[in-house]
Amino acid sequence: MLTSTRIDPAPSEAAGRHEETAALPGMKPPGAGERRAGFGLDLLNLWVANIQTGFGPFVAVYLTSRGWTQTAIGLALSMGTLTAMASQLPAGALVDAMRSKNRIAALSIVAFALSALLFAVYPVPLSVFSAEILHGFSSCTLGPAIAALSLAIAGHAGLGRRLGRNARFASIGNGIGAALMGAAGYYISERSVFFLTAALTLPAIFAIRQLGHVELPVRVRRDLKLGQKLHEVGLILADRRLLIFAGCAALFTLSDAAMLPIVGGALTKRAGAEASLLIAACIVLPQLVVAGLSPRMGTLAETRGRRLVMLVGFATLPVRALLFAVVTDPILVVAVQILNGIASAAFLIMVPLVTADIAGRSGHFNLALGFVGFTIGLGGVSSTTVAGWVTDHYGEAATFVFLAAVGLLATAVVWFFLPETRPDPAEHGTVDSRKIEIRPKE
Amino acid sequence: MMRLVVSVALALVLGVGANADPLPDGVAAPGAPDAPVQPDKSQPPPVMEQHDVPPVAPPDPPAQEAKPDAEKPSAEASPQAPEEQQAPKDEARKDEAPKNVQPVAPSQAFSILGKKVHGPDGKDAYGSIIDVLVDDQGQPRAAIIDFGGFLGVGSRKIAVDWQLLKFNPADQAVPVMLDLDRGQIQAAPEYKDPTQPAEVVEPALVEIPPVSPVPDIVETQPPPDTVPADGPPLAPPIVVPRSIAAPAPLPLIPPPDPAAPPNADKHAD
Repeated sequence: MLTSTRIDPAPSEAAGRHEETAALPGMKPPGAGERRAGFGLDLLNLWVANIQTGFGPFVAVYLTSRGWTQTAIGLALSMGTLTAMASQLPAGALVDAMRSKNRIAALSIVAFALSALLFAVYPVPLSVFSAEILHGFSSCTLGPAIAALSLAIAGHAGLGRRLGRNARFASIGNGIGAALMGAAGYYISERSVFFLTAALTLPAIFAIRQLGHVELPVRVRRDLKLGQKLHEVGLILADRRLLIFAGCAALFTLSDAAMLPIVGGALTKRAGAEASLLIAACIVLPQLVVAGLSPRMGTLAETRGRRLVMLVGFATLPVRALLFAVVTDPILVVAVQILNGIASAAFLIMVPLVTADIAGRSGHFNLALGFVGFTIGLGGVSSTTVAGWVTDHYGEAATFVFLAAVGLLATAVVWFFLPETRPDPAEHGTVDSRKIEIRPKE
Repeated sequence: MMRLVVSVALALVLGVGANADPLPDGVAAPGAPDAPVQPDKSQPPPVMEQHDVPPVAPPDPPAQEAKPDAEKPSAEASPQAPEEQQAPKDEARKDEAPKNVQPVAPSQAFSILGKKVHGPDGKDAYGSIIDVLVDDQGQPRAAIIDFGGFLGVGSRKIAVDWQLLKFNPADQAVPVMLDLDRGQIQAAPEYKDPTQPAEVVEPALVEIPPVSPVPDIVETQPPPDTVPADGPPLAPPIVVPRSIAAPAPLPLIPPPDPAAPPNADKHAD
């Protein structure tokens, strides 16, 4: 029996155990402190996803209702996007530098609340732009912070299953958020959505308090000179596996991000008054699938390897895109979104998991995650732009064929180029046996 | 770092809030002394003339209303304040405001950007007006309406002729009505790029427009029960009649052949 209150999972002990219980590597009887921390993480993921729903495309709806012109709305939204893109790497480095991961998570959530209040209370350009920048930056710190919390609490050996649970609760939160915000926007006012968002940060902060103090144990020495640190960072970011994975993630988003908006537009065109309901179903159904599937996928990633889960998730992309090109019946369109759920579950788990495999305890986990996040952002931004261009010139069906081709390419890159990053279970010590060793330059 | 960001954001909010206050002052302040001061140049600015103001509201009441408002702050704030210092400011402000300001109540003219657009029945909420296209005279030609979607996902923009909109400033719940039914809205082409020609949904002319490709279809089409009683019959864009007309002949064609066995049973009974 391990010590019950310690959060550091002691990877060598965990790995020693999982040779006996081969089915679930890294599994160990959780102590009270860990159980509580795990529960806190569940809730944190739920509430954070809940909060995120109100930002995003809905901002345009809200600002329109406040009499904003399309130009000003476009400016505000692109400021948010640019901030999010530019701050991925610095925000990752910041999370790495902060010892207390729960503090940075809490601060990010407070920034979310402020940003929502700025939107709600005073929707003039200055405060809206500030809110977009604030939200853009804090979303770049929050994601890595939650991943770091998960890695610290579950340990590398249990990270796959932990991320599976994260994805489950995040998708439940997304579903609840969509329902709550949709109802608030429809029955009360567009503005109330942002007040609701601000209010929902309170339980999220309460969930962080459940965690206690969490530090991510890293093997890196903190007394390094700047040059040595930069050299380490260079080693991490130049890791071939990380580069390939980041490329795959970018291609995934390039294929994935534009699908739902195009499908939504098509539903609005084809279906009548119930189109909004169908689009809501298109958003919520994948969340249900993720909620049901992701824990199993997380376990699968630990027992069968990352490549399998990634291939399953990525392979749904071309299938889904081609189905969207063919299927016109609204109900069937919604049903195709089940594939979106499978892809999302795999993607949500794999991004932090593979990054942790590569950079887990190097001290630059969040920076590496920020790098992957940056390429994902690139994929997302170009997705809607490129897809919009293809739609204008060649029509909707051609766009889906194009997105299917990109998805197929992403799958092929995973298949042919991405090595298995799962630490070899035969060797002892899941983390320390990583093939890349980061040593300070002497 | 985060603290810094947070505190900067807070400062921004407070700063913005503080800046917002001067606006009403600026509006209320002008007009204390009555005599209009001539500008330096002898040439009267043509812009100031009220040639275009419609007879919506008489010009007298605003002047009377403005006076007490303007006198209040100066009396309360500083009774013994030196008049020489205030005088030039007041004169400067007075130039801009009193003669060419017309109060227009929200029930007479109202802001339409972001306003909900309802169907002809006043119940079905289609979407909101997000933009207005005007011609070289400044006259509105078309409104861009954003409709559909959920939480901002999957909405569509269309351009409709200005004539199709009916405005009711007094009604807060249904301020704008659009003389199109849902099918016509759905069939309307999407409005995408302001730099490209907009495909505007036009109201029908009284004479049947010489649209060559589809006259036959229009005739076979069932009577347009969807057209509102007060409006002229609408000739929606070419796309619409086809999509409506296509299903129409169908009910005539399929005979109840497949249901023959049950019928036979009934006859047997």
